[in-house]
Amino acid sequence: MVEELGKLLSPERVLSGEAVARAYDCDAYTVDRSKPTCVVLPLDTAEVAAVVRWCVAHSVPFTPRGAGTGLSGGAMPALGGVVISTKKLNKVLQIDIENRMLKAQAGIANKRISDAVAEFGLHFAPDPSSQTVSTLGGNIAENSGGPHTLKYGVTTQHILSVTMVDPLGEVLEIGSLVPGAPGYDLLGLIVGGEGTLGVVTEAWVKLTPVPAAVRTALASFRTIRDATECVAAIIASGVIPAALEMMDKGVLRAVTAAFKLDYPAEADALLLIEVDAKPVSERNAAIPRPPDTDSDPNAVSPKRPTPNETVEKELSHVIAICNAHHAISIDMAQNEAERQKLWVARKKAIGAMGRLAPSIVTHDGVIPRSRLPEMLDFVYAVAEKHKIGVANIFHAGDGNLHPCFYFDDRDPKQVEAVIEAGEEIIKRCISLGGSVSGEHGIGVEKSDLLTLMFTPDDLRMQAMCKQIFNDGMLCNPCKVLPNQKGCVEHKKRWRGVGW
Amino acid sequence: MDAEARYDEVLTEALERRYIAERAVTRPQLLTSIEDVSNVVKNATLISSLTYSLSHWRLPSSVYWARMVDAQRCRIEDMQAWEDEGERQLYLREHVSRLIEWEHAYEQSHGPKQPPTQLYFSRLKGVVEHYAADQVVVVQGGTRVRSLQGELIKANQCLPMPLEDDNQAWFGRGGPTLTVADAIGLNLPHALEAQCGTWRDWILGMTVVLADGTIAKSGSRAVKNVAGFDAHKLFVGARSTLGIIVQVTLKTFPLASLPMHEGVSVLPIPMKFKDRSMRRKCLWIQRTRRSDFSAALVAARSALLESDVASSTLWAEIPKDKELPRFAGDHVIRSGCGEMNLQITDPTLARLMQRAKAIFDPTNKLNPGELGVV
Amino acid sequence: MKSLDELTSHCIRCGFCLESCPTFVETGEETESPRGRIYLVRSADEGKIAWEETRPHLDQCLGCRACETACPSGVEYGQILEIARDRLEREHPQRAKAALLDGLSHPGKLKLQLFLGKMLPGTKIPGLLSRMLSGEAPEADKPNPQPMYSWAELDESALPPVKGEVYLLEGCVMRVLFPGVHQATRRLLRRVGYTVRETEAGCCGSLHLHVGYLDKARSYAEKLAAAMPDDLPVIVDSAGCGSTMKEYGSLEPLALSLRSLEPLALSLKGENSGLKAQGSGLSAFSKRVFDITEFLLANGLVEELAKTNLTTKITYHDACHLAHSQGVRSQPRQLLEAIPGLQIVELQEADTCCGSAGIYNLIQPKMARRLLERKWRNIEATGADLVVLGNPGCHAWIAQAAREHKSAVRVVHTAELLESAFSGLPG
Repeated sequence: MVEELGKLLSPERVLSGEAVARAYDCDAYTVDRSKPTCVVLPLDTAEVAAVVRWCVAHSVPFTPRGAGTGLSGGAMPALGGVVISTKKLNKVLQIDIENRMLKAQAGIANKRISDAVAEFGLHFAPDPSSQTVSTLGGNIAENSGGPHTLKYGVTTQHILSVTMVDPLGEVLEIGSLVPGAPGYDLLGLIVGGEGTLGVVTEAWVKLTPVPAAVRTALASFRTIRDATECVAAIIASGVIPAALEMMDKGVLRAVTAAFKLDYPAEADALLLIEVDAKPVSERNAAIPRPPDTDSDPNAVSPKRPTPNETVEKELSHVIAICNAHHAISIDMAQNEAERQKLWVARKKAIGAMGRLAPSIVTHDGVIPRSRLPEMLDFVYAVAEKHKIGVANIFHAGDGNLHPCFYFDDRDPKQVEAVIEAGEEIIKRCISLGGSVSGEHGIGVEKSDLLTLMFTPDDLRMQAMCKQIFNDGMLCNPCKVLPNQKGCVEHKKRWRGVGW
Repeated sequence: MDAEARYDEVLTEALERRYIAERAVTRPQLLTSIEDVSNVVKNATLISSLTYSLSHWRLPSSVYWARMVDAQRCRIEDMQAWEDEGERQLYLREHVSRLIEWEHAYEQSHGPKQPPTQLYFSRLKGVVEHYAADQVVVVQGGTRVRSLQGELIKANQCLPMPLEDDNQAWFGRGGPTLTVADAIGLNLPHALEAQCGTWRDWILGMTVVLADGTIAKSGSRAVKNVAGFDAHKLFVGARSTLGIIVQVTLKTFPLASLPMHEGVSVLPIPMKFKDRSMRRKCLWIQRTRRSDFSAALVAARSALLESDVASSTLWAEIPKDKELPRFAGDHVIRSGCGEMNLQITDPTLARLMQRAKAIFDPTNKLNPGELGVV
Repeated sequence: MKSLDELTSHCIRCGFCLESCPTFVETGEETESPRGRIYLVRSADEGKIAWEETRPHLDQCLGCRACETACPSGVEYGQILEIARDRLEREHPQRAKAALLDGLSHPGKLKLQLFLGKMLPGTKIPGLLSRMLSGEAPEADKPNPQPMYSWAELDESALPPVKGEVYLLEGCVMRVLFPGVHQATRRLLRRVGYTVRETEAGCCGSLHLHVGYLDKARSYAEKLAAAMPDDLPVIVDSAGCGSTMKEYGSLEPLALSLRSLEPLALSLKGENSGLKAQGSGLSAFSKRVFDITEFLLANGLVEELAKTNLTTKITYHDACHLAHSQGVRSQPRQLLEAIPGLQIVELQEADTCCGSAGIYNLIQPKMARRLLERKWRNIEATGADLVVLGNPGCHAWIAQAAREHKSAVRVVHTAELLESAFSGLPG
């Protein structure tokens, strides 16, 4: 296999051997692991297609992989075979500033897209915490979110079209550069398809103007309940902040060690709140012309608020709500450096959990936002019951929880407790009308949990969606849908401590 | 019963009467529950399901028109003249001939006179639940968009698309009789799209009846969700060719967060047009790249009715046999001009759509011909 | 010294280090990333794979420790690498590497080799030597010792009174190849009131520590600490040496293993980092070690610099062992900014390794070359006349790039540039 693939690409871009198999046996979700036979690093779409066609001809499973920062095992080669790494597909191909779009290869790190257009006052809005490393292709596969998706929407709202190699090795262009084209929304399936519908190799993404005014505040609360009730109240009040993030004490301990945040000692929860406003030229551009016949030519239009006025107004509104919910302190970032410091602490917090224990499993359930207070109480109760550590850092504004269990993966008992606790939390999310995953994806981790949320008929409809692209069992097998043929018996092999 | 609900009742009955009288068909099935829809779909062999009020937007080749309007055939034959006009027409011609073939086959197996079952579920309506604090509403597919907006505004929320007044029923969205399911199936551009998104972005969950009568749901009530494939996205803009939308969970917008226009929230301003009798006119909706938009506006000139810079969309009145200039990558949706209403010219998309149709509706039961898929 | 088991257990595989790693960015291969290497080392330590499997990937590592800057969990990658390389060398010794180090770290032997080297044709190091070390053709030029500066004697009457004495690490390679840097360092120290107490001390053991000879490094460390008694500050003008000397404490054995503790108890670890610094000589010695720029900034050189003037355009390259290991980033910049007339252009990817990395350019010539070319493109883009940096390895390697590209750009040590502000830019 290695030799033949080496002929298709070049020998030095086909990796194999014991060390390689080990290094690629999982992503950032470490509970399930499975080794590939080899790893290929194609340079362009044609090479990806050649590899896929070879795999199809020889009935070898293949699994696409970006940076391997996924949190649900999406890049794990479940049935072995070939891992198709996009890390050499890492170029910006085209920038169209006038139409605010950019074409890049799938393996480029998310942040490098924004860096490439920063000088034009634009950025790529989806900002998962892993954005300095996670790839565009991975973000597309998982339909990644991030703190600012509260206001700007998740990845699917920012992808115009993709070039992808379908599961049979044919190259398809899907989507249109002008959004909203008529026809079935196939792009809507591919974004969030977790790499099971084909291998995305290139994409045109939308670029969004960088906000003209931003205010970032860190509010601290004595109890979790004060903080969660404050979040629910902010949302219910009708203001949509750019971001609304919560950190509990467990996270604060790790984050403080790493990033030295200042907050009152008696605080049990922090809220990171950001409000922003678009540049003036962007606002109101879309408003329909005032009707010719009905408009009063003498009417004096009121002065438009400047971006600064807009954010100050929103901010004072939000601060008032925080105060009404007994905030102990509210600190404003005084400059961009302070703001960046807060965001680095927030975005790298999950990584800092290694300060607490050798392994973490981060859950990703999402619930209606008004239920946050009771849900958080439940999370702590579950952790206590199973005697495992839990820290919460999450997108409160979206109702997207990230209870992060920290444990020692070398102890099978702890692994088991973590899995059980996770299921209890997920079940509660579903019973509250929420979902098993807000942004991390199903992967191998949660495919069994899907049956808690969907009936067999619901799942059959999803299987039909998959079938539009993928008839076989070769393209990223055993992911997303439960009980796939040939996968059930492998489950035991992946899981546990025997790798 | 409040005034709005009473109005709703009267309107529904009036529409049913008018529908029966004008179309001279048997009384449509009155569906009041999701199970009703499921039963009807399961037992029917041919279903027309975008309601009467939207016929202006549909391809005449879809089952609805193919069965009802004889003049249809003439239009198909007119197309022979297009032979040399490039790839787009060629595709269209192939598509039409495929439709003719299908119609022959259909008549042979089912007999020529059998009318399609008209799904008419304006009685499957109402807000199931409005979670105001979460800004989420669960609503039946047959609910009129207008009455949904009325309900939401009571809680200082809305769906962020401009309202229209009754006289402009035909412009843009279909007027007071437009249902949520139809609006989603049609997915027409609107003027707040760039700021507030479209149905695709607002739908959090959906219940559909598939071609075999299966009731299946997708999504959840949470505002963010990646559990499984986004199956509900497939039904947005699909014109009921893959399944029947019977219930949707929508994200609502606080009025306070709507874009402001001259210091006033835009929602109360209806889109207004010079000509109030749009219902008889042919509408041309074109969306281009930003860089082409001024040229497109200039080209539309006197025909221009309305435009939205942010989404680079223009609305113009163009006779059915005329066209405005096209631009690279743009797309056009028209009304009142038969086969020209909608053209899907991307061969990859067309092929995959055919494939999706074969999987979701293997017996070609749901609006066959609509969107060019059979 | 901590155990590999404990050190690697803090990596939770988040992957935030990936884009900071020069070899990962160049290759895109997980096995050439910090996360991948830690996982391989952990696997070898647990007996899941053979140690020999890790060698090509550990060899490929620059040891630049940019990943430590990126790591939110505070994984001590440098230590993991050192211990793992030591394990590898014990199991499968590489004689050529050992001989090379031996030659570099003894000034006498190095001088002899330089003399012999001059008699060989070509500018590169001998091909035979390169093949023994790396199996590849050589990339690095033969080293060429720098001449001393012809600056005028300092005018004692114009200088502040002497406040105290310090040690200066003359080192092994620095002593032979960069005597001018030491010359500038001594003059600058005097300008802030310090004189250098002379000592015979030589190599700090840095090269040995970084490529897998822990015992050797420990014995150098003990020798050096013994040669610099009396609690005087120890000034270092070589980033690699300074980094090692500041971490001598980690060479001391650590009795307590955290492995057996419950995870909740593990959570206390953040507060317990004092554990490694407890105790004896080496840790205490480490606390006396300062990079020259740290020391000069703390002792008021800024005020002196304000009186000078130097009109030229420079850019600053962060040596890995200053920026990532010692966290020394702002100090050299603050000193440079204090010089009136000096135009400073920020270098893109300033803290990305240039590929020199100790003896890396000798044992991994191909990768070192790729990184050097990347660094050179960034330097050229600044349009600067001078590249300022604080480490001999980068100094020689980037200077080689300048020669090869026939560029007028000159490479100088931070100390040389600072002294030039007082005494004039030579040449």
